[in-house]
Amino acid sequence: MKGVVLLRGVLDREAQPAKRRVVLDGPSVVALGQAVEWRRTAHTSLTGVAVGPQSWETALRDALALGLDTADLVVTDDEGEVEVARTAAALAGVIGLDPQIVFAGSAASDSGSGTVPAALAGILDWPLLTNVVWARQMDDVLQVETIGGPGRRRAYEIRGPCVMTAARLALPPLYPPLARRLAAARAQIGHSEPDFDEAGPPSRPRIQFLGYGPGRPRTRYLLKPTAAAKPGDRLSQLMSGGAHRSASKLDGDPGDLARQLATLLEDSGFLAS
Amino acid sequence: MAAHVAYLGTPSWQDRGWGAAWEIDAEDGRAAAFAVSGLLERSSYAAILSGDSPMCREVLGRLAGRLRLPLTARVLSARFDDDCLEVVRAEEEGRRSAKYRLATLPAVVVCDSDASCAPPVARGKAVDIDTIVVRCPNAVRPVSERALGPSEIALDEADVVVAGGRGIGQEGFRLVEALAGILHGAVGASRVAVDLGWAPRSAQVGMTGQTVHPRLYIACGISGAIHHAFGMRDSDFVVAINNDPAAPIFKFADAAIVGDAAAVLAALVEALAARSRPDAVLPRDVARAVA
Repeated sequence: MKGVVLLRGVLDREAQPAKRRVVLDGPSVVALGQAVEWRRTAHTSLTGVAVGPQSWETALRDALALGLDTADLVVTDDEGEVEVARTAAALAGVIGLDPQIVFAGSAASDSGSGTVPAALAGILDWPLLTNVVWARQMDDVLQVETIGGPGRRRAYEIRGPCVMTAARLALPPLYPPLARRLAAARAQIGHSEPDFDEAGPPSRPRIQFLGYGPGRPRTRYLLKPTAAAKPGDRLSQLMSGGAHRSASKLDGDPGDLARQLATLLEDSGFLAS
Repeated sequence: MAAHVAYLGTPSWQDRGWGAAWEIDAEDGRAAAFAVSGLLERSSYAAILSGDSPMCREVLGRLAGRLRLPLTARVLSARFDDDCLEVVRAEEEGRRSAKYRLATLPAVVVCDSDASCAPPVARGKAVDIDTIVVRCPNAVRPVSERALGPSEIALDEADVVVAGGRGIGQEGFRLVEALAGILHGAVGASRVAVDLGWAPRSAQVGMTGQTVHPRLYIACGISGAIHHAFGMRDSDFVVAINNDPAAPIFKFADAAIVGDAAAVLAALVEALAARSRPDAVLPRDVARAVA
């Protein structure tokens, strides 16, 4: 069974304005890293698919250098980020022809909503596994481990096609060798038009963008240090984000203190798990 | 517009005049999506809203994909305007918001965890919350489940972090690991402890290490220099153990214990081990450290 990675391009805002280009977003890189690890055990080909404008081609070339065998870009005028069902339908048109293993980042292919993989799984009627830590292939069985709560892992065994979203865990950085970079620069990238079926979304956007507004207020932006405090204390107040708790200090016999603390932790439910 | 709105998920807004409110008890998102689409066929709704949980995202995502409905997620507020639904959603990790108009109804809306969604319909009588139990023989079920050891849990996913500093000494880190094991948490360390080689670099909490926000943070023998506090200040509940009553860490503590951190930690490990598993035997090296 082949592997597919859902990719998303974002403008590299860390580069100098004159050198800015579209690069892979963080979740896509995590998904790609998991897919490359999976391919070591699956011995099959890996394709990257993105739904977006022509400018995303540079990001797909980066993905090719990082380990993809082929890459397809479904070209849309907009960035296809708002209409989740529309993006998923376009992806399904490319992916759904063969049963495949689909890797997605936690926010790949949409604007951080994390719903495109679910919509894709809904269209194709394939199972969806979220928060995947690693995946490996043992003959025709896909073995997957996912985060099952804080400090817990769940293992799954899947036969057949499946959509997975990678957990937001750090992976070792990928450094493609120069030869792969040069090969990726020359590689052919498949281009296609979005293929919506008749029941699919209409061509005119059903979701209209009206404008941007402010972000969520954050405590550290609202914090004003005490005017009367010394400069060092003001710096401390700013860096602590205003966090200041006033616990009364307990001292005495270590055994007594430990027993009090143990009772507190037990009453607070930290021993229940 | 007298819109008929359905709410899916564990309802926290029971009195907001939903047309219907459902709580889905399902172990498989695919089966739950089938059940909800069946409910939608029986009545017409202008919008289907849900809370922000992995199951809700999967169910509404599948629903939008199957029925080709417009979907928006991370929605902070929503209101009806001229037969359209106007939503404000968080974008770029909350650094900005954006307003959209959903012209085609019904619409599917996944609310943000910070949402204060104004009720799209007038407040009315609280609806009964129907619990839908979905059982699916073909559900994807885990074949096994396990708890991670303290050395395996990544700091940023841990619910509990037990961190050690210079004040507990190298041997004290055995106790830190033991306590983290009992509480199913991760081991953290101050920069000084990492520089001394007592803990790996990946365990460092602070400005030059990792930023954590667990439910419980236990700082043992850490003075609480601002560089360290920067990385743990968002913890829900902070316990600080230090022998210096003037240590800055106490400014960030919900429970402040003045005393020898290693001695308190040893007694705490012993007490908690007895309470969590009365018949358990401490590992030999930990038992030696406790003694």
